[in-house]
Amino acid sequence: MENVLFQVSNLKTSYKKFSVRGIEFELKSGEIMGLIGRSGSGKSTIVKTLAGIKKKDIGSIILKIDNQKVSLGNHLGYSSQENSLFEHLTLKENISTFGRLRKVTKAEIEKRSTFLLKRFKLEGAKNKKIIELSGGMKKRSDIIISLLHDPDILILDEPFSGLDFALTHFLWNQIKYLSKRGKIIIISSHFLKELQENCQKLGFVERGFFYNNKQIKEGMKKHHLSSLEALFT
Amino acid sequence: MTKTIPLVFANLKEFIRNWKSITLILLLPILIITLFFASFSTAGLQKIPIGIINTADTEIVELTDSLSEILVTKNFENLENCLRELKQYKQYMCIDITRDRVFRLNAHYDNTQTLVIWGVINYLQSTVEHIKKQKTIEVTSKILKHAESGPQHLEKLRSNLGTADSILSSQMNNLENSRNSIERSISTIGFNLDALNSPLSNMENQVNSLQLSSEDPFINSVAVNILSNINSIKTKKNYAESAADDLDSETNELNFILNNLRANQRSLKELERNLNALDVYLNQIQQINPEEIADPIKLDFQPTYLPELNQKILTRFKNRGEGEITQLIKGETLLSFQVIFPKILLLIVMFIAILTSSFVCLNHIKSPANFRMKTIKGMFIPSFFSVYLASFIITLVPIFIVVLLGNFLFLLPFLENLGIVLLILFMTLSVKILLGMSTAYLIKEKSLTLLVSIFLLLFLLFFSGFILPIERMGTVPAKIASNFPGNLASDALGKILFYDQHFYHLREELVYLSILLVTIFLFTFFIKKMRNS
Repeated sequence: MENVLFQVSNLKTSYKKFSVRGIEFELKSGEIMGLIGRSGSGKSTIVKTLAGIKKKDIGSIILKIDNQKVSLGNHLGYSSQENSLFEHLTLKENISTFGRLRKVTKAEIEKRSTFLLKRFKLEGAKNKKIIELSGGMKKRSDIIISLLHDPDILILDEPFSGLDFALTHFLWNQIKYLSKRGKIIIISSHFLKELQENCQKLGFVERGFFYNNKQIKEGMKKHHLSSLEALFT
Repeated sequence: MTKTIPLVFANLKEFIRNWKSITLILLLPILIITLFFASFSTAGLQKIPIGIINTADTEIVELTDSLSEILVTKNFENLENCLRELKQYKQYMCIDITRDRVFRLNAHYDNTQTLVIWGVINYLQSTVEHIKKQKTIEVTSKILKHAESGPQHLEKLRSNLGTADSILSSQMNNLENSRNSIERSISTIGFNLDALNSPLSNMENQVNSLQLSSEDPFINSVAVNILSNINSIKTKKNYAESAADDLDSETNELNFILNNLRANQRSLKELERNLNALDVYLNQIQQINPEEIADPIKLDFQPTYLPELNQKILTRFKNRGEGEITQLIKGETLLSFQVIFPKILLLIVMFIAILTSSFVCLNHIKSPANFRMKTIKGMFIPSFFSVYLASFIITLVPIFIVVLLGNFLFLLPFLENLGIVLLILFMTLSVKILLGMSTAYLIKEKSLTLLVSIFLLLFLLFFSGFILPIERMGTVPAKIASNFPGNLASDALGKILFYDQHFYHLREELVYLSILLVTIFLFTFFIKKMRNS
C-alpha cells in the first residue's frame, strides 16, 4: 500500500464576496476527515477548491505519494451533493464514458466496474438510465464513478443528504472499507454525530474561517465546551 | 481525441434519448420542411383573382382570354366595386379598360401583396405587350397596303406632268415663233415706213414748188389735194408707226409671258423631280416590315440558366407561343424552384444549425455531468469539440434529407458535385454551429439563449437577401451582408449547381468562408474560456 499524504496549507478560497481562509490540514492514507459547519458557511466552496473545480486564492494543496509530490489530477475522486452524471445514459454508459475520460483502460474499466457495482449493490441497475434510478441509487452510482479510476483521495460533498438510515449506514460501511484500503476521504456533511463517530479528523468552518482538528480541540478546551454541538451555539 | 470521442457519443445519446429535443430540433424541422415543399404547387401561381372593368366599346377579347389562362377574371360594372373587393383581399388587381382614341388599361394593383403581385404584373405586362405588338402589326400592314397604290398614282401624275410639259414646250415654241414673226413684221413695217419719209418729203417739196410756181387754180387745187393726201399719208404713217410701236411693246409682253412660261416649265420639272423622290420614298416604305414599326427595339430576355432537362421550355422565353400552357408553366415553376432552392437549403442550415448547437451546448453546460468533468484535467478542448461534433452530426440528418430532395425532386446536381457541395455546406454549417455555441456559452440560460438565438436568426434572415435583395441596401450594409456566410455559400452553390463552374472560380467565397470560420471558431473558444474562468 502506498504512503499517501495530503497537505493543505494556508488555503484561502472565495465565492463571490464570501471567502474562507486559514484552511490548513494534513491527511494520511486511510484517514477520514469530516467537514462541518452551518449552511452557507463555505463547506462546499472548500470542497470544490480541493477538488479543483474552483481556483484557490492563495495557499497550497499538495499530494505526496511515497514522499514524491504528484499532481492531484487522476489521484482525486469527487462526488458532488447532486449527482453529476449523464442523466439519459445508463449507469454502464456513464461508467464507460467517465472511465475513458479518466484514461482508464477498457479492461480496467470492466474489472473495476464489476467490482464496484457488486460492492455498491447496483449490478441490476447498470442498464438503467440514471434518470430512472432512485435517489439512493443515484448517489451510489455517483460514488462508483468517483472511484472508477481508483483515486487516492475521495471527496464526498453531502453524501448522506436524502438517504434513509439503512442507506446511510451502508454508505458509511463502504467509506470505512475504502479507508481501510488506504484511501483518504473528506466528507462534508450536516450529520455531526456520524462524523464524530466515524471520522478520525474534523474540520470546522465558521464565519469565514477554517478550524482544523487540533484547533477545534484547543477551542473547545479554551471555551470549556463539552460537545461539538456547542460550537454551533 | 481519446476524450473527445466518448464525449461526442455521450452528447449524442443525451440528445437522442431526450424525446423533447428530438421532436423540437429534429422531427419538427423535418416535418416543416416536408410540408413546405409539399405545399407548393408545380402549377405555379394558382389562379389569382383579378377584376376587369370593361367600359370600352370594343372589348379586348385577346386580353381577357389570355389573362384567363392563369388568372381568375371577374367582370365589374365599375372601378369602385372592384377596389372594394381588392381592399378586402378578394382581388389582387383591378384593370379598368377605357377607350378614347386608344385603349387605356389602368391596372390598380394591391402592392401589399408583394410576393405575388409582381408575378401578376409581369404576366399582364407581357400579355399586353404581345397583344399591342400584334395590333400594331395589323394597323401598320393596312397602312402599308394603302401605300402600295401610291407609286401607281405617282406614275400617272408623272405621265400627266410629262404631257403637260410637252404641250407647254410646244406652245412656248409657237409663241416664240409668233413673237419672232411679229418682230420681223414690225421691223419690216418700220423700215418701209421710214422709207416713205424721203419720197413724201420730196413729193411735198415738189408740190409746194409747183404750187408756188403755178398760178393755175386747177394745179393749185390739185397741189392742195396732193398736199392734203401727203399729210393724210403722213398721218397714216404716224398711225402705222404708232401701231408698230404698240406691236413692239406687245412683243415685250409676249417675251414676259414666254419667260413666265419657261419658269413654270422649270417648276414642272422640279415637281417631277420631287415626285421621283417621293416615288423612291414610297418604295422604301414598301420595303418596311410592319414588325419593324411595331417592335423597332427588340428586347429579349435570355435566362442563362436553362438546364438540359428543361430545354422544351426554352421557346417560352423566346416568344410567347401557344402550346400546352400547363406543362410550360410547370416547367417554369420547376425552374423558379430550382433557382431559389440553394437559398432555401442554406436558410434551413442556418435555422437548424444555430438552434441545434445552442440546444446541445446548453444541454452540455447544464448537464449534471458537467460538474464532474470540471474535476478532470484537460477537458476544455474535448468538451468544446464534443459539443461541436455532436451538433454537426445531428444537423447532418435533416440537411442531408433536404440535399436529397434537391437532387431527386428538384433535379439539381448535388450528388454530381458532392465533394464541393459538402465542403461549402461543411463550412457554412460549422460557422452557424459555432454561432449557436457562442450564444449558449455566453448566456448559459436556456430561455434567454433561445430568445437571443431567434433574434440572431432573424438578423441573419434579413441580411440573407431572401426577403429583400442585398442590392437594395446601402453600400456599406450591402458589402457587409454580401460577406455573410449564407450569402457566400449561396453564391458558391449557385456557381456549382447552375453554371457548373470550376472549383477555382469559387476561391473567393471559400477564402472568405474560411476566414469567417476561423474567426468565429476563435471567438467561440474565447467566449467559452472567458465564461469558464
